[in-house]
Amino acid sequence: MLRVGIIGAGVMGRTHAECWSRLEDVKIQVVCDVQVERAEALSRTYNCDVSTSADDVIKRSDIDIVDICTPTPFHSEIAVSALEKGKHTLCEKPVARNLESARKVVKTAREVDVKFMTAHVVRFFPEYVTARNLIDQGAIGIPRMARTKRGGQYPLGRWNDWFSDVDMSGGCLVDTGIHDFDYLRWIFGDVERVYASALTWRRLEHKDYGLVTLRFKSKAMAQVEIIWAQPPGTPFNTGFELIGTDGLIAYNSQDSSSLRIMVSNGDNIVQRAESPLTESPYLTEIRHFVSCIEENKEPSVTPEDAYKALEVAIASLESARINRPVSVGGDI
Amino acid sequence: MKGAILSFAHMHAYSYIECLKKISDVEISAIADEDTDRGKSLADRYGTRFYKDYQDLLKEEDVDFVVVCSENVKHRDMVIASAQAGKHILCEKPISVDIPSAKEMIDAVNRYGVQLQIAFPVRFSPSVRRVKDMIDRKELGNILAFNCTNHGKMPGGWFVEKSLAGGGAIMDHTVHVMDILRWYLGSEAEYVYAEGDTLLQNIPAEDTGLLSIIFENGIFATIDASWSRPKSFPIWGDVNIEMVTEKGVVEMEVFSQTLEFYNDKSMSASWIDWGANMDLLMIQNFISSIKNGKPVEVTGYDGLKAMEVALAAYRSLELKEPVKLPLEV
Repeated sequence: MLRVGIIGAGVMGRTHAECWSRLEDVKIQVVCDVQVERAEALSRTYNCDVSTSADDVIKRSDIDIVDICTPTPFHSEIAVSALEKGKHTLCEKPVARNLESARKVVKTAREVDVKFMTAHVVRFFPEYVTARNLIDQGAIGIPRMARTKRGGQYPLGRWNDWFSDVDMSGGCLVDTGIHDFDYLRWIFGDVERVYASALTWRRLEHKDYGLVTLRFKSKAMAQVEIIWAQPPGTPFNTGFELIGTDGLIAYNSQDSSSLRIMVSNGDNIVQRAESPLTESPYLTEIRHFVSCIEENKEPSVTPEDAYKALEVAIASLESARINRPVSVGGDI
Repeated sequence: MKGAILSFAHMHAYSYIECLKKISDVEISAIADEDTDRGKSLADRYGTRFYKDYQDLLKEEDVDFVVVCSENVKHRDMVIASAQAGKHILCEKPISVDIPSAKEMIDAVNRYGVQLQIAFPVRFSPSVRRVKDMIDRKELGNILAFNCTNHGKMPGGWFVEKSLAGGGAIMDHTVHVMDILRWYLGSEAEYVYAEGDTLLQNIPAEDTGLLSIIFENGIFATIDASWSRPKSFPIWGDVNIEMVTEKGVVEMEVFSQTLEFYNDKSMSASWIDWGANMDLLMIQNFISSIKNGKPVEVTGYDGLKAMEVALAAYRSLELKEPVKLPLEV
């Protein structure tokens, strides 16, 4: 039996808790949040302890796994402490808000004898996995170019509106762009330089948008689009095009949903698209992490992967600030 | 109105001549083409006179306007000679391959009192016009950014020879979208950054280009100008313009009014365009302008400013940094 302590009971904490609860040989031991009522709500559902102190959770001897679901700037410090206390650690992305903190996490993760993984969940979404498997099989020849799109409405209603604080969230490029940066690195390898434009530095109220051009060491190039600018109520949407010397793979979440539901309940008209799966990609991700612990394997997202995705994200944010290309690829 | 086609080197000429045939008060009186076989067979098909040398054609009195569809580098000489001969001109995009030649072309049409329109049919798309109306009526709030593509299949032929095309995919595919963005914003590009390379095909020009543009009014845009559609792609390519505004997002896919078509004889799947014939709308507009003596809607200057962004992109590829516009020539 593996016992998990979840730190942060916001959107991601709740999503992860639901996944952990589905695993037979895992028990949610404690949920921690500075807003105690949020932790209490989860404790009622999953019958676990409540805490308001990440430190207390990490110190507990009845915890094997720490799952960090706090806002970004708290990730790295909690991760380092948890790893040093010998806890397997699953950390939401980005691994840190800055590279210096990320470096500490990577260093610590490599020194200790427990598993560490950053939750780059896109690597567990079936459409993204299927596309990468096709590329691995040579389906499009040599992969050379990509376009990606990710976004929807602004992330509203979060603790202290922390997404609005660029110093905390890094804006759309760091928080959301990092998914695509990681995915593209998974296919095209390391990035050489980036050029980005973004609304982030204009600090418009509850609106952010970014366009990043990536050039990889392999000479491949990619255009990444991150949208926090669609009106409230817009469903989250993603898309990609992966182009090689022999072909092209395209995906658009809006075009490939398997259910469109149009019903009215009195005055309440529901129109939405759904794309049901056998299991949530978040559950697949957590299953993978648990199997790495149980079978003593290296998680598929390495600490270095998490660092390098953040490096691209930070470079993009900087490029958007100075309107110049920024080189990527320093030593960890 | 009597018109002539100068060269069928650019395949759009085949569409333009069909459009001209559909307009009741237009007569196609002559075709000039360096390629005698190509030109003669087209002259036979359309029942027009044929000239190997376009200079001979320009001497004819019964030609009011010409449509120039030669290789990009030849636009300059053909347009200037046509202006000297007093013919109005519809010239395929890009206007030319460098700024001095484009300025000479604009000077010539001004000097000889004829009109020059650059062939940007996307301006006449009903969807593009619909969004322009919404912008003008301020229904969308202030514009903040654009993410655009003009993809195509690798065209081959002279398009991949820099000595004839002036570049590759970036020269071919930047200008349509750039013209729309200038039109929507009423602002010019101030900085252009580009990545581009020959990544997909074994050709002597770049087949991929990602341009990042910052306009004088601070709005930013990207244009993907790549010839990145595989040969098996179900349609020739796309012009997609996504616009982010204060009020949300508008996604425009100009060529997505299509049917899906599956055929066992060719074992192929394709998308068949049923949308408006933008070439026809553009040519009707051109004919109406010259007939009524009104200024054309898309001028040589528009062509120059759109091309300048492509030229800035090439300079950015060399310098690996953003290039400030207007370019010093």
